[in-house]
Amino acid sequence: MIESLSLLSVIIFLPFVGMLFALSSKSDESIGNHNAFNVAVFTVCANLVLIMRIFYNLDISKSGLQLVERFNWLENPNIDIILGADVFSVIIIMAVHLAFIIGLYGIKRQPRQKPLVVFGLLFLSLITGFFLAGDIFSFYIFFEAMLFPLFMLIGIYGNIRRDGAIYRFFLYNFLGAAVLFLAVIILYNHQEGKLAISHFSNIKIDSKIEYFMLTSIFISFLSRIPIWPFHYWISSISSSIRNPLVFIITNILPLTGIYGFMRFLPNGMDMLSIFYISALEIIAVITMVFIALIGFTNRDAQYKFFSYITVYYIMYLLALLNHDSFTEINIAFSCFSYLIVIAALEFLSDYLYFEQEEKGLNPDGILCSVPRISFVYSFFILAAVGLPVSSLFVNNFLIVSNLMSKNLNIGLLVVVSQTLVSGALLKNLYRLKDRSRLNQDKPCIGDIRRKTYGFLIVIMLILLMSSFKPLWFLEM
Amino acid sequence: MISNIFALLLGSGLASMIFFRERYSRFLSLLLLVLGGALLFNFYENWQFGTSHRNIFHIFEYEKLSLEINLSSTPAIYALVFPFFGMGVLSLYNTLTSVQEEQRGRLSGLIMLDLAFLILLSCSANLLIILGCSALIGVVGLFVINNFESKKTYIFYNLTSDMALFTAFSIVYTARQSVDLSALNQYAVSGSEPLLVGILILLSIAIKSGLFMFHNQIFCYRHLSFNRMIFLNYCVAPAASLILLSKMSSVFANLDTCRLLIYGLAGLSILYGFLGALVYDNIKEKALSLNVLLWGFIYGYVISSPNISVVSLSWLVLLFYLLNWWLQLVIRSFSDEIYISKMGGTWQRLILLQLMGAVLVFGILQRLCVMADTTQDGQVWLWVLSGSILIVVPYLFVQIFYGENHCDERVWAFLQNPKFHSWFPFFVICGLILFHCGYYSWSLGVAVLFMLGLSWLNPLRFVADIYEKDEVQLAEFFERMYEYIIVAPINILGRILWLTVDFLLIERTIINSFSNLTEFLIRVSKTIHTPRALAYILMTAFGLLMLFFLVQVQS
Repeated sequence: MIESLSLLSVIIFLPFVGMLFALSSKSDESIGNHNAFNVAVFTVCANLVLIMRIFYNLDISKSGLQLVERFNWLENPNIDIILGADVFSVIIIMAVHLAFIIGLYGIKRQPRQKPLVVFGLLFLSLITGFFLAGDIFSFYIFFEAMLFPLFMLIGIYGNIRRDGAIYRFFLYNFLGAAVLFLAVIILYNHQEGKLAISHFSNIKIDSKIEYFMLTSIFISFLSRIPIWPFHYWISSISSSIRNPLVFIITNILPLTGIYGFMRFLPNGMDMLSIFYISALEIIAVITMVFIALIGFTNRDAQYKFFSYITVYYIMYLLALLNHDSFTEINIAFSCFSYLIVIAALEFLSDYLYFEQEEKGLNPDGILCSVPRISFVYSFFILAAVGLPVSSLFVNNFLIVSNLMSKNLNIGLLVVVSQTLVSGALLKNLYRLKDRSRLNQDKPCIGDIRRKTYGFLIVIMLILLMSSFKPLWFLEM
Repeated sequence: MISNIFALLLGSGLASMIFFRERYSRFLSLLLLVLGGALLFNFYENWQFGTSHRNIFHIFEYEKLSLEINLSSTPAIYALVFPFFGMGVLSLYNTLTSVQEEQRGRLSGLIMLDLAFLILLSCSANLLIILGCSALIGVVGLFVINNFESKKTYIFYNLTSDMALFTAFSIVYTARQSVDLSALNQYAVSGSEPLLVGILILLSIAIKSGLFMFHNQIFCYRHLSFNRMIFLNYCVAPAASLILLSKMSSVFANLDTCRLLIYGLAGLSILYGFLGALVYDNIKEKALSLNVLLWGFIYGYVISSPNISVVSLSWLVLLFYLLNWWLQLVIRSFSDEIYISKMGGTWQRLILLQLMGAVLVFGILQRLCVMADTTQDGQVWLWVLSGSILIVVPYLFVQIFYGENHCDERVWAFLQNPKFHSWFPFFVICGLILFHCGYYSWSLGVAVLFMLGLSWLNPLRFVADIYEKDEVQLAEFFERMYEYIIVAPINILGRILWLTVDFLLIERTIINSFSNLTEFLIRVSKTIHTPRALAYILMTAFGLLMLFFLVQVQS
């Protein structure tokens, strides 16, 4: 019976329905009423079960969109909404859900949960729709709509510098939205409403218009990726907001740009495309090394995470430019671990930050008195660095190899950047573990509760399993 | 079967790490020692019977990559691993008997894990598994180190080393589309960037073994207990590097530049180790210098000829392990006094300790003579090592046992020979090695006589003056050098980039320009929207202009 359901539509709408429930629930954290939070956890878990079900229905060996659902939205103008999934998109959706659930766990102790949960679920619904969009129209709608919840979240939870962060966020994303809108209009006029993404690379239009359209599309995707000078809005939000869920949402957003590149990159490369791609590669590599260097020297833990995230996203972008289906699937597997790792690190980092703020402590040596958090934090840092405890190990190897096959220098620079950001993360870890700098007169921070510890151990096990077999859950 | 031994080592190591309780630490340590000993015996039996098994476990198979855990055993693998296994079990014994050790159970568990990963590394013929094992051995080492500064230095060196290996293997995979070890050897012959791959592998190996230029991390171990220090020096990263070398030495066969680099690093390591063993006052630093000297010799010797195998050096490595153990016993006999300048004049009271040292040194010389006789390759390296030993050891003996007494009252009062549980296994192992070697010749006699003469004359007595010089004893030249040439420039560059690109260019130029433009537009529109005649005229004129422009474009 479940096969007959439109599973793809269900996983888009379930978080939306959850959001409506959360919106109408009574939630007051001060008296222990976490209704909105509970609704969110239930919704995300239910969606994860459905995502697993989708995996069983997918043919992993096939490429291209599967389980396609088509709805006629408007007859005049004729607009069809097409939804479809492939292994890449479903893995990414699953990783986003897992990261989201970690983020939810991170806000459990915080006040004002309801707006976070409401906008968070809305974002989840929209980003799921984005990854399942099979036509350019719905792709555009989801691509732009998902900015709204983030905009609201920055406004509500930003610190004293939030005005600047919102301004930068608006400026860059408005630019991206405007140019993508133009491209969609051109495409709509040319294709008379038949806007399936899978047909995009076969479109034949006037070369000048094609270049204009491609440039517009790529600029809009670049505005999401932390590539120079667009990286600034993400770094600005990352360092001005101390909320795990908002941080995770902000740092999932670049994935939409990467995904856009994957879907829209033309198959055949003519001279101008090669020129564009070469220019993009140069800018990407310079940004990557530049951010890695700053991350290595900056003492702010959030900036270090941001630099780590940037290096990885740029690595994925560079690998995607090679246009190889094998690399694409590796990026998906790598992303699966990567999103979980950054979510867990942000969750732990925020926990430490709030504990140290509450007790007026320095971050130096803060992990010495908390064995549970010290263990899980070290594990996730070691996973982030690329040790064989997650799928990052094998898949990054394959991604870097692929980059080297195209251009050895780019591959080497990626490795150098990875080494720098790994060094930055390790430096931060050892700063937190430096017993010699611990102030013995001040009280220690409290360790995470057993339940949270158990939750993180489960996440660690998921990562460990992924290092042996990325799709291990299909064999359960 | 080697796979069973691996599984037992891994399982017992993990179990002891997970269920470790401080209260049962000694019992757990004893249990692991018994298990380790039994497994060693089984390992030795398998080796002697020449058993070969094929055990390959497929982890996963991608489109272009298959990953498999290979635990197939051959006599060559047994021969390669056996000395490290032996040293691991000795470290287990040392852990159990060491008075200083606080976390016996935990350390014993780590030793078991390390041995498991060393076995896997030796058996593996898959580049990714080799890389993974190398990284995991590095992590075990990280947990063994219980000093913050040492840990920090260690992890940065190991990260660099593993990233170098990662890059080299990526290049090979790119060219060959295979992660089989044979692909690396093929690449060395016909690849497009063999020199780069060779240098990266060399860098990785040199860092792991702490050769000259990368010896800083090794010297950081001086902050640890002697037992941990020896284990780290012989069974963790340097052991992994030696196994890596045994697997990848063919890469260097056709690369003259790499061979030249290795010779240079090896020669400088021997020189640095030799000088360090003479001038450092701290016995731990002397031991570490001797280790740098040994690893320098090994790399120079192995690379000097394709006929020399790493396995042939395993007995020598074991003897140097025992030399470190003996130095540990010296410190214990002197009530944990670590400075050699505060020893001397104790020969009458420490006869057993001297005898142990003498037997051990005889064993080392015997082994060197055997090596010199069995192959004509790498004779220069053998002579250099022998010469260094012949000079350093008598000097150490004189400083510890003879000459003027510098011991303080407490040390003198508690001076004691090693206890039964220390000397008995020591003599048993040395006896076995001597018996196994069974080599006696005139050259050995000459070497012994030379050492005795040197001990009697003590021509290096002036070197002891350097013990007083803080600029030699406390200086960390290389740490400072790396700080100046690598860390500081990265920090400065990062800071400059942040200030110029992020702050000045983006924030102050792009963002502010847009901000000012928006402000300007708001001001203009405000001006237009004021109820004045001029504003109406301007607005109407603008509308007409737009209309005109539109008509022009359409026509």
